[in-house]
Amino acid sequence: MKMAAIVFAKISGWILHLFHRGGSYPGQIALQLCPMILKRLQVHGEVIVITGTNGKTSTANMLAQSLKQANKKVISNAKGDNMRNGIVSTLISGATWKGYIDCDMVVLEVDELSLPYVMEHLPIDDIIITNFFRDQLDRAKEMEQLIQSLEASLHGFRGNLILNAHDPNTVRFAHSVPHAQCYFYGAEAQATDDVEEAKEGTFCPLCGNRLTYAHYQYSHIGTFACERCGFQTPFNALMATDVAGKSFRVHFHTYEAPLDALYMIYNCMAVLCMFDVLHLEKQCAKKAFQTFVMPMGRNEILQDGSRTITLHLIKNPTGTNEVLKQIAKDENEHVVLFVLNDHPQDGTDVSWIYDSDFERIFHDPTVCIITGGSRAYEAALRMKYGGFKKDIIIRDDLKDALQAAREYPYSIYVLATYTALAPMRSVIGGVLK
Amino acid sequence: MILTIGWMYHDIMNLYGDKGNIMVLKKRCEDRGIDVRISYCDIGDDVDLSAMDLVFFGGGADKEQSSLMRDLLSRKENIQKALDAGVMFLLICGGYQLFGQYYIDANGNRIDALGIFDYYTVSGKSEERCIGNIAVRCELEGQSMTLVGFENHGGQTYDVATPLGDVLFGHGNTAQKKQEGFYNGQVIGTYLHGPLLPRNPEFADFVIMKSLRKSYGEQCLEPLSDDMELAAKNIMLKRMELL
Repeated sequence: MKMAAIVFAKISGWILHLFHRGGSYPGQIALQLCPMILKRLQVHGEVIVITGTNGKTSTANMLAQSLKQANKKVISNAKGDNMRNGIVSTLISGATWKGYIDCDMVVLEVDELSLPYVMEHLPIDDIIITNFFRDQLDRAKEMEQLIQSLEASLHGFRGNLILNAHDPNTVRFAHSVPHAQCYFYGAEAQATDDVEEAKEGTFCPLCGNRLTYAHYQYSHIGTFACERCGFQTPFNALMATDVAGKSFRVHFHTYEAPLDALYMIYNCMAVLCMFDVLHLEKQCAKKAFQTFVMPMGRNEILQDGSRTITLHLIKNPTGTNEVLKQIAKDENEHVVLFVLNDHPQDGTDVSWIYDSDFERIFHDPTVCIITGGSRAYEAALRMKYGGFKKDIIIRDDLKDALQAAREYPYSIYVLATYTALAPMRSVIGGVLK
Repeated sequence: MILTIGWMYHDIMNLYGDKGNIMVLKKRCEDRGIDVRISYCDIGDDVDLSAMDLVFFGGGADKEQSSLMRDLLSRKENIQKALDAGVMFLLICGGYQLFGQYYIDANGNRIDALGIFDYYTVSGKSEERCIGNIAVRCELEGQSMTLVGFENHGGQTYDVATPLGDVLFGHGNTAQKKQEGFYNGQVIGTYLHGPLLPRNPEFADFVIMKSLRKSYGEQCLEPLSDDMELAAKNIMLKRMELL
């Protein structure tokens, strides 16, 4: 059945490709025909997995491009198809008819809930864990339960673990995965005003004592220590120093992140740390960072006559807060359009909008907030009860919502949840033609 | 008038946007010229809950919840004093569970709770976790209302003598989908997140009215414009085929 599964998946993949569609469907077919298909593929090359709450897509794409700069043949799920079907689709499209995958590196972004499945079915060499934040608690239940299930599935792992040194919930894997080689990355302390954000790292994951933070970078990312058991930010992390906007240094070299945002520097550091582990030349990554194009809806800037429309995907409080901080820096008048859907991929529980610090953008330059999507009223209530005193406009239809925003002569920030992103992008595309 | 709110463990029991409830209470009071003063009652804080008009206690993850148990139990006497003094209580999810007899967590550990009420909570099997939108019909001192929210709890709460209301959609206290929450005229316990109050403005006002009673007696609240709130609620009621 393996051969048939590959044939059908490849053909359906080509047909979808003709219609400019990608995605998880070929993988679904292959899994139906041959449930053990991943185990039956023969991978020649290093398999690198990137998981965690935020930064998976950017980190995986930057890593894949950096490896290509280093003349490696790479297969990756660049479009973010990071669940079981999408991963199978990616691997089959890179495999021969007989199921050989001939490349130097396979770079896979893997959804946290799909990691146990991938661990069981693929020979993984390296795992990068970016961070853990509150995200879709309706799907993932409590974050602690999610992390415990990942720890259980990684317990016997003997490869390399590349861990964010500033997240207690990633550092704990160094303790719970006893046979792995662990490497850490981070960035030097930045001045920050984050005190009121929803934090997950409050208690020591090993002994339960309250953690002491010398410093917070954003959310619960920072320099921590447990005064009872000694669990703390590792000293031997590969660190970004001299961080200034996009620019940072590692040892004697200067790099530029694709975006002026601290979380993006952490993503770059994950790539550089992986390069160290692979003994590759970090200058290749430097080139990749310079030419890196952010994926759709990650700070995507579109020109609409004399104004800009900036599109941001938001899906959980921490990511949203980073976006809101960026908008808060804009001193020119602007309009904010927030599209809140509650389909399963968005999370059916919309309470996370109250854990996000929208008050940051309730400043003078924000002249109006427009809300749309299946929970437009809920989004509007968030603004009202947060104390936004100017106009809050609700539009069910996305075209109407964009039109309402364009009636102002100002730049527009569009915040869209996962399933709202592509429809919103095409509505914007429609008016820019 | 001044409404004083004691907010218990605001930085630990802050799951699922529960702080939105405080935002709603504050704004709906301030819009009517009632000042709101919030006292944080976190681990180790010296706060007299009996001096408050309302005590709010939100939900948290199992692990966070267990970290505050020692502090909470040390406040038992003060909580009893607050109850005797007529302080109103709004308890969500974890906060609700901890006013019962005990809680048996997912690993089978028994955590002794405050034991103020007879109900107790047992963590269900993982497939029994109650997750999703919920609607509850309540009769509150002659006022009938339908509450909508989002529930996400593994714990099943049994032996609730006086439930808050009947489940129209979703689960409620147990996966058996019958009754939701607890209400005895002074203490409201509920599994409704969402957060609860933004889209249930009549319930928010009910809580405010009950809370003002201790210091100011019976008060009538000026009506506010609730079009947005009720539209948000009606969208969910329609989706649950209740409207």
